[in-house]
Amino acid sequence: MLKNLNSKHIQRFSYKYLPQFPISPNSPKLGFSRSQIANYRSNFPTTIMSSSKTIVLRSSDGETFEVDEAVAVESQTIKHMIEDGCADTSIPLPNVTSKILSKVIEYCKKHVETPNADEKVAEEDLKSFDADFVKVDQSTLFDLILAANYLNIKSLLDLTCQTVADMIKGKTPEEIRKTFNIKNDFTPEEEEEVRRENAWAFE
Amino acid sequence: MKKPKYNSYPTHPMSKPQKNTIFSLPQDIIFDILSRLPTKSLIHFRSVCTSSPPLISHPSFTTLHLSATGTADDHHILIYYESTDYINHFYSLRSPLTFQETLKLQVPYKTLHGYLRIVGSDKGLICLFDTNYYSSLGTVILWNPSIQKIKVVDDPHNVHDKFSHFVLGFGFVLRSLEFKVVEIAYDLDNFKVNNSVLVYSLSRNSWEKKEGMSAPYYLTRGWSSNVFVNGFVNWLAFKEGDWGVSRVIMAFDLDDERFEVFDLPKDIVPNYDQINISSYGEEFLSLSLCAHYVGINGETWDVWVMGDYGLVDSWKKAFVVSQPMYSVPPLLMKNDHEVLIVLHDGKLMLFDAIKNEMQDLETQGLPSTFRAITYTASLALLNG
Repeated sequence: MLKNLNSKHIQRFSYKYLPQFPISPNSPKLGFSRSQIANYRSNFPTTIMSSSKTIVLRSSDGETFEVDEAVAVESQTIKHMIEDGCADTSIPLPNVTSKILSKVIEYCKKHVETPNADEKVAEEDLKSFDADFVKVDQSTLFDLILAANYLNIKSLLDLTCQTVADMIKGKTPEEIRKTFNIKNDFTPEEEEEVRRENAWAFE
Repeated sequence: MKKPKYNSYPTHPMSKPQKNTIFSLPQDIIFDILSRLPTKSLIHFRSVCTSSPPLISHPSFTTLHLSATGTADDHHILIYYESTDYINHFYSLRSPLTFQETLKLQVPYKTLHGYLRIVGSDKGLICLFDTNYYSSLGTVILWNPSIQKIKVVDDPHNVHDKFSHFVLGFGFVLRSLEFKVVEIAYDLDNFKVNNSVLVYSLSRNSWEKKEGMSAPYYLTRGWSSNVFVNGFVNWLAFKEGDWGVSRVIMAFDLDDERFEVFDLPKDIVPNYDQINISSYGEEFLSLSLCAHYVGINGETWDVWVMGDYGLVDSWKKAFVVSQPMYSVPPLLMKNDHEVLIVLHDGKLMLFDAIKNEMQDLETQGLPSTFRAITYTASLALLNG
């Protein structure tokens, strides 16, 4: 009987048996964990059997991206869309450009692929990936923040917000303005007022 | 003085958030980013452009800011001492790791009654009590040295009421995000038995007399220090019993506003001639007790730590300091073997009980005037 089953059957079969009800983070885990699926898949060539579905994401500028469901559900927004049954053909993401979406997918892929984040080597590898990931121009960084917020990817939002915080930390007001290309729009009187109010004794 | 417009409008009437900058991000995200910054950076950020102050002063951000534990850069130790000629008073800000001085603070307030006593410090504010030698009257001051803001608290008492003395405590209640001051007013008439309790809340800006409540035990006239640990203000009080006077730890829960009493360690050697409480640990989350003994071999301080706050059975003797000191209690227990002490000659030292070494911190003053408290910077009082 197994001989007559092709990959299309297997895909549809497994999709039907995905949990239909909303899964909360606290509910008992049903099905296989991401690492179990990744591990399982690594032992079988994908042409024979694939136990995960792919999701198609459509950026604001019309480009489509096919990603493994395991990667796509790093985004809580996408996860809820799938659970609500809105993911039959493709998921439109009108707030995310293709440039940013491809970066976000790259981030999610890496974080899903890392088999065991508890291992020192894997943890270091992920840390250095994250550090390089945010080495982008400011405009891209802010777009990534907005995308992470819209797509509800907590770890990416954390990483990008921390990056901006690190860019502010330890700088004087003038240095902050230079870094972010912000215009000082205080009037001289207002500036004096603020400086007096901010009489920082720790200087 | 014209009040700046940006403090009263949600956004400055003259500006829109500058495009493609941090200010064009959703407000919640900006608050997320700001909540990761130490207080000093927040103050600098406030001076960047007109969009900054409304964000920093926003009530949602204030809540986030006060609920957080404070970044590592915000933690300091404040050491107060006076020069040997009684003339100069120093508020020396120190690194909690090395105890080296980072800055000398100036209190923007002149004492009216003679002495500015440090009541305590929490969440960016230092509570001072402007009082006289016997603490028979006084004014409460709240001071944030990070932004040099002072709030003088109104006196809750009628000018004709006379008291024997006052005992104070201060802390921040995390649950309700309130700064509170507790005052025990001991009656002129038999203060060992009669007292009244008042609680001040900064958010209410008013005092409340706790009807029907009094402190179970007494503290003597003069200034009594307290230690704020685990949400409780702790004092070492006197208890009159059938066998004479003994010592007990009297604690006031600032959140529930009620008293608790804890006994001293069961195994403490009773012939101490001095006893004192202090805070203990890297995060200063535990209560410690120091008892001084003079023996044939010299003087020693036994240091006890209450492992589980509130559990009398959890008192454990942490270590013994036996260096010649001018009977001044150890100021602060850094950890289970390092303690901040003051020698005979008024020199401040960090004593390591394991290495049996003393590190000279190059600070000298009048030994009995030294006090050490933790100070964590915040923007409290920014909005008044």
